[in-house]
Order: sequence, then structure tokens, then C-alpha cells
Amino acid sequence: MQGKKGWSALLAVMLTATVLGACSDNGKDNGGTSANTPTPSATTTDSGEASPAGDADPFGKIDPPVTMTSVLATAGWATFPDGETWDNDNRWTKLYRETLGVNLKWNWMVDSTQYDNKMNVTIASGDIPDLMLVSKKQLNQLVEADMVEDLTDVFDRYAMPYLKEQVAEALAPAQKMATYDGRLMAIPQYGGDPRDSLLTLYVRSDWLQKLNLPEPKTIDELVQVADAFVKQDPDGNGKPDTLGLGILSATMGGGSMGGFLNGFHAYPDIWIEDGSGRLAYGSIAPQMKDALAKLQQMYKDGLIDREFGTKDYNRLKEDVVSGKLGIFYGTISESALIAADLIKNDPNASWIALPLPSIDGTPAKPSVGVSVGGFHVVKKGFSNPEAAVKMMNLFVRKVYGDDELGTNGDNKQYAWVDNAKYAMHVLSPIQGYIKDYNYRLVRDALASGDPSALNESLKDTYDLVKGTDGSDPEKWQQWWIHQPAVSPFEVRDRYQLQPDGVVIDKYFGGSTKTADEKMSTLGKMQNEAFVKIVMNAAPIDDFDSFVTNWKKLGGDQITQEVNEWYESNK
Amino acid sequence: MFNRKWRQESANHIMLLPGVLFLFLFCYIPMFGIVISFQKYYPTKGFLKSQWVGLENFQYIFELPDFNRVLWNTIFIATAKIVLHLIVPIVTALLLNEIRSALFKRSVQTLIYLPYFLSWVILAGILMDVLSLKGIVNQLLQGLGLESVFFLGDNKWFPWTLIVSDTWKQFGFDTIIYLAALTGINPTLYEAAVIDGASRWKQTLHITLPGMAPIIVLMMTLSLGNVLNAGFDQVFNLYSPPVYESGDILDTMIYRIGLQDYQFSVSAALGLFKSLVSFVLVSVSYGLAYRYANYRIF
Repeated sequence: MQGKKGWSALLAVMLTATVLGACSDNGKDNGGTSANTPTPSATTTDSGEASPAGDADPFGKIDPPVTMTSVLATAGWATFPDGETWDNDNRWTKLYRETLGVNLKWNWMVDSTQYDNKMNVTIASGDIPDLMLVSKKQLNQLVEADMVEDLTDVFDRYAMPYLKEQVAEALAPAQKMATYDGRLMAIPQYGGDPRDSLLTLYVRSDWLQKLNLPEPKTIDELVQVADAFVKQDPDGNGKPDTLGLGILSATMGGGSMGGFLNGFHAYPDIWIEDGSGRLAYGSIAPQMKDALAKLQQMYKDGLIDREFGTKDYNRLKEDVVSGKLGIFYGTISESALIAADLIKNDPNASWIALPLPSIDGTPAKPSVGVSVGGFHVVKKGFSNPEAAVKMMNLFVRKVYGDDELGTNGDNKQYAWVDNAKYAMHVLSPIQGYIKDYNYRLVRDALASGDPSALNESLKDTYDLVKGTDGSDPEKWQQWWIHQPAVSPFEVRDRYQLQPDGVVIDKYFGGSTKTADEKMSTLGKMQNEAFVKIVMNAAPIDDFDSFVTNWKKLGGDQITQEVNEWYESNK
Repeated sequence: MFNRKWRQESANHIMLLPGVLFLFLFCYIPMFGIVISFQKYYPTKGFLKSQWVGLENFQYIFELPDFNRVLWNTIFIATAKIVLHLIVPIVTALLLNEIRSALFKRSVQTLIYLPYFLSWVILAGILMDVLSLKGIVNQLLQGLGLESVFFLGDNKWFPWTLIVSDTWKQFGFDTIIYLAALTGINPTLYEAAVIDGASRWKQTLHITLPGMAPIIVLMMTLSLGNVLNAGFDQVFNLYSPPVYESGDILDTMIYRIGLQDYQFSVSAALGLFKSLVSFVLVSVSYGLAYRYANYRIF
């Protein structure tokens, strides 16, 4: 340190920083941390936009054609047929231009890992494109800064009937997340029916047969099966290397302990009604304590992998594929991600998907959260905001069809092209996951032998399933999910057919002010407490101190804020 | 100003100019960004419009429920790493120095240097297998009749797992630096010592170590600046809920908070806090080295 010189330089920097601080906006403006109360001032101006008067055609061409700037996140895994890339004139840009009169121009494209950062920078610069996909937080900021169009009226007028149907039911939570004070400020990148990600129980049915065990329907039967899997050498190699129930330290998602907790009517990580019209956080419910106590007992008895706390999803998968783990909770995705890989390794194995075992006479209900990947916003002042709605319409028509049966759909060209070799649907600047695979249609067609109601791509699946008996490991997954006796799709379908058959998170206001500050700490506390209890590194009564701490360290505050939203958004 | 000295040295200064400019543009100008740590920064508002909150961000960090535990973890792990990172390479350098065979010496050098290049993502994957309850290390322990140890899941063992594995990864690099320092010691000193009847140990104590002292002091001074950097990469890839208690460090805590929702201000505040602490420690240690070991940089 050069004595005085160094000190004066440091002082200069500090003084400058202070001056800059004094210059910044010191007003009452709280930085928009509250997700549910910003008031968009766009309400009075959107009807004055230059939308074609009286034209309510969801697919109407905009004349004269309009140019719309946008940005894109390129996903590294997606490949495209020859000649089409992210940035040239691919089929989507052609489609939108020719059918809708919308000329798309890309301001920038970055890899999806950089997208968020780049978006933040773009928003900070104030120079935003006409159409872009943003996160909920970014949406909050944009609405607060009054930088985006109110889309309520254009959506009402231009959205296609099928989309409106879906939005009224399955996609309602997503639509609500884009609504501020009753006005729709963005078109969500729909994530499908939230119930689609429910968990079912996956069990090695060949092990069940070998050990003469019944399919587990209650928690007690589940424990018996886990016990047998550990002690009675189901893989027949003479070594005690098989594990019991597979779980992760996570409480939601494929492979997690969420399914087990649901069996005790405990619903982690979501907001549920507490019986008095208010919302309460599912993780602190008393039933959770019983569920954890049972898991602790199972751990003590060696029915759960001793290292489950340090293992992640990939390691759980390894345990299954190497033939050590035969029972876990998964979504329908696990049929392809985990179960199928085991079959490739061991073609003699077989799986069955079962509804969640319950602790008592009341059937267990799976719980799911609500999440939306992103929101499509239109820059304030853009001449034709209905372009966004029309593009979504066209996307839905091409990828999903105009209705349940997929009429007018063309997903061979616009979604999974060339037998799922290329993913075209990710090229579109507006995209969404509207409806999951129409299992019921195909199942019924297979049962009756009559595929006439199926559209082209469903017919292909029909043919594939008809043409195999499950012995080909490459086709096993498609075959297996269409056997109603064992399919996770069947289990899911039955849950979805029951009114209130699935417990859905009732809060979709994004993040609250206190949640912004405290949720990650609370989440870590919960994770740690639960895992330690199960691992018997902490007594079960620690659950009570966890609940007390959770409430004290911000949980009560967050509950308060969530209920304020709930009151005004019921 | 236009004297002879300036004319002689002007070429040097001009060559330095691009580097200095670069440093100024990319390291000093961005320091203005420090203001973010005193604001509630939102990207949509930018520097000038985000609300000024003074020390609120710092308060928020210090008041986080696990802050004390996390700070303790950070200091403990980092200090142990610094100590081991000094001792192990020095000892290895001294031992390697004794080796006659140049081929052996160089092969060992290369081998111990290799782990340095592996990223923690890869190493973590390997370690999780090797250190698992059914992994090689535990099989060895069981073979010796000892109980298996849950290295990655037991709070008593986890910090040491971090410290030892990190030392193993890094010591090759430092060893080479010390070996270089060793070769700089005048061989005639050794000859004189042998004539005076000094044993190898005495030689090490009185010639080798003092000869290496400047380098050791330099490495120590630099590494003291790292006392709050317990190694995000490593911890993030190896930790899990059972060992949050002993393994969570400042950086992983702030990572989680930052990830929740763009808490730029909080991350910036933590960064500033760490920099300040490093700055104080480096200045103090340099001052001490200057006073007592006559060690100078300027």
C-alpha cells in the first residue's frame, strides 16, 4: 500500500459510491417485490390499438403484414432437418408469415442457459423486443414498469375455442398466474394440466411374483414388500445387495418421497385449504409427522438405502437399472427415463404401476404443484397485440390440433418430425404444452380394434403397439404404457377422472415479498429436518421444533401474504 | 519529464499500456457496480433507479438464521485448507528434492499435478462412488475390521472429506512452485554446511527452509485472502441435506438465495463483505511480513 495515495484513492471511490446512492430513486416505490399487487395502467389503452376492427378470426391474416421482433433461447439438445436452423427461414417463420402476416425478426438468440441473464440485461436496457418469453419475476417487473400490453381483450376475442376450453379448466392456474388485477398481461407458456405430473408407485412385478407377494395397496403391505425385497434375494444372485423402498431427499418430483407422504394424506411443498377457508402450507401439517415417523422406522429396519440422503435422481436411476432397486415413486416420465432402461438391461424383468398406498381406509390422493415455465409478453405500444394470440392459436392447431381428436393437426411437420428424430416445436417463439398425450383415445382404440378416430400420429402409436408384444426392449415403453393393467397412464387417468382426485396447489401468485427473502432458507431447513429425521439422525419430535422454527422464521409471514392473495383471488 | 530516464523507459510503459487499459476497463470501472450491494437492485431499473437501502442487504445476510453456523463452516474449512495447502506441498517438495533419479522425480511431479486439471463436477462423481458406503474405501476399512464410514453423509467426517480431497487435488500445483524455489537456493551453501558437519536434517532446517521463506511467505499471504472462499465448486457438487450442517458455506447459501429470485443485491453484498475481509487479512499479513521478515513486493 503506497501510504497516503492508496487511502485517498479508496476514499474517492467510496465518496463516488455514496453520491451515486443519493442520486438514485429514494421514493416510496418498494421495488415491486410484492407479486400480487402491481396495478397495470394499460387497462384503458389496449382497445385503442390498431387491431383489425370486428375481425375475430383466430387465424386471420394481418394485412398489411406486420414485423415483430423477438428473441429465442436455443436448446442444445434440439436438432432440425437439413436446411432449417434456429435463425434462418424455418417452417415456423414461414408459417407465421404466410398464414398470419407476421414477419418475425430475431433481435438475438442465446443458448438456453444464458437466456435468463441476457433477458435481465435486455429488460434493464429498456430496449425490449415486441414479443418475448419472460419468467414470473421478470413479468412482475415489466407489469410494474408498465412495459407490456394488456392482452385480456385480444385473448377474449381471438383465442381459438379449443384453447379457451383448456384455459377454462386444466390451464386455469397458469392463466391466473399471468393475470394481474383481473387483466391478462401475458400468454403463459402453458405447462399442461398440473395433474399430469402426479406420482404413482412403480414396482418390479417379476420380483413380486418370484417372492409370492401381493400388489401393495396399503402402507403396511408396502413395508412388507420392501422388507421382502431386501431380505429375500429377489434378484436371485445369492448376495444381499438389493434395496427396499427407493426415495430421494426431495419431497416432490419423480423418485422423491412425495408419493409416500401422500399416502399419509400429507401434501408437502404446496398450499392447501385448512378447513377454515384459509390456506396452510402442507409441509407443516401434523400428518407429515406420522409419515416421517414411518419412514424413520423403515430406515432403522434397513428397508431404505442408508445413503439415500446423499443420492440424487441419477444415482437412484443407476440403482434401478443395475437391478438393485425395485420399488419407487415416479411420474409417467419415469416409464421412459428409468423403467425402460432397466428393461434394456434385463429383458426378463417386468414392471407394474400402482396407485399410491394409503395408511388407512381413505384412498391416498397424489399432490401436485403448479408451475409455469414462462410468459409471452407483447411490448407496450405494439401495433397488433392480437398477433401473439393468433400465433399461439396456430401453434396449438399445428402441434395439437383444433380439438381432442387432433383435427387439422400436423405434428409430423411441426412437432416430432421424422419419427421423433427432430424437435420442431421448440423453434416457435410462442409455444406451450397444452395437453398431454391422449392415452384414453389410443387405449380405447386398441381395446376395440378400431383406429378410425385416431389422427395420423396417434395411429402410428396404435400400429406400433399392435405390432409388438413387449419383448423388444426398444419398443417396450410404448407397449407397456398401453397395457391398462399395469400402465402408469391408466393409474393417472383414473385419478384425473375423479373429481378432486388430485390435490393441486391452491396458490398461484408467484412469490410473495417475504417468500423472496426467506423461502430458500425455509426450504433448506425443511429438507435438512426431514432427511435427518428419516435417517434417524434426529428424533421424530424434532418435527415439532421444525414447525415452530418454520413459523417463526418467516413461515407465518408468508402464510399471511398467501392468504391475502387468496382472499382477493378466490 | 523528458529526461533520459523517461526516454529509456518509455518503450516499457507503452508496452504496458494495453494491459493497464484492459485492467482499468474491466476490473476498475466495473467496481462502480459495488453500489448494487447498497441498493435493492432490479435489472429493469438499472443502477440509477434502483432503491438505495444502505446496509440493509448486509443486515439481511447477518440475520439469516444459519449465518453463524455457515460462517463458522466457511472459516473452518477454508483455514484447514490453507494450513494443509502449505504443509503438504512443502513437505512433498522437500522429499522430491531428495530424489536422485530425474525420471522418477519428473514422473511423480506430473502424476501429482494431474488432478489439478479435473473439474469438481467430474471429481465429485468419482468421489461419490469411491467414498460411498459400498465403495472401495469402505470395503478396505471393512477388510481391516473397521466400521464403514459415511464420508459424504456424516457431519463429523464431511468437512474433512472436503479438506483432504481438495488438498489432494491442489497440492501438485503448489509443490512445483516450491520445487522451483528450492532450485534457486545456492548449492555452495549446502557444500559449506556439509564441510561444517551438518546432517541432512540440519541442512533442511537451516538452509532449505530459510531459502524458501520468501516464497512460503508469498503463498501464505496470497492464500490468506482466500479465507472466506471455502470452494463453492467443490462443496456444491458434494454436499446434500444430511450434511448441510457442517458443509454449507457462505457461497452455497447465497447461491440458493440468489437462485430463488435474482437477489443480485444480496450476492453483491456478500461478495463485497468477502472482499473486505480478504483485503484486511492480506494487508495485515503483508504488513507483518514486511516488518518481521523484511519481505517486500513494491
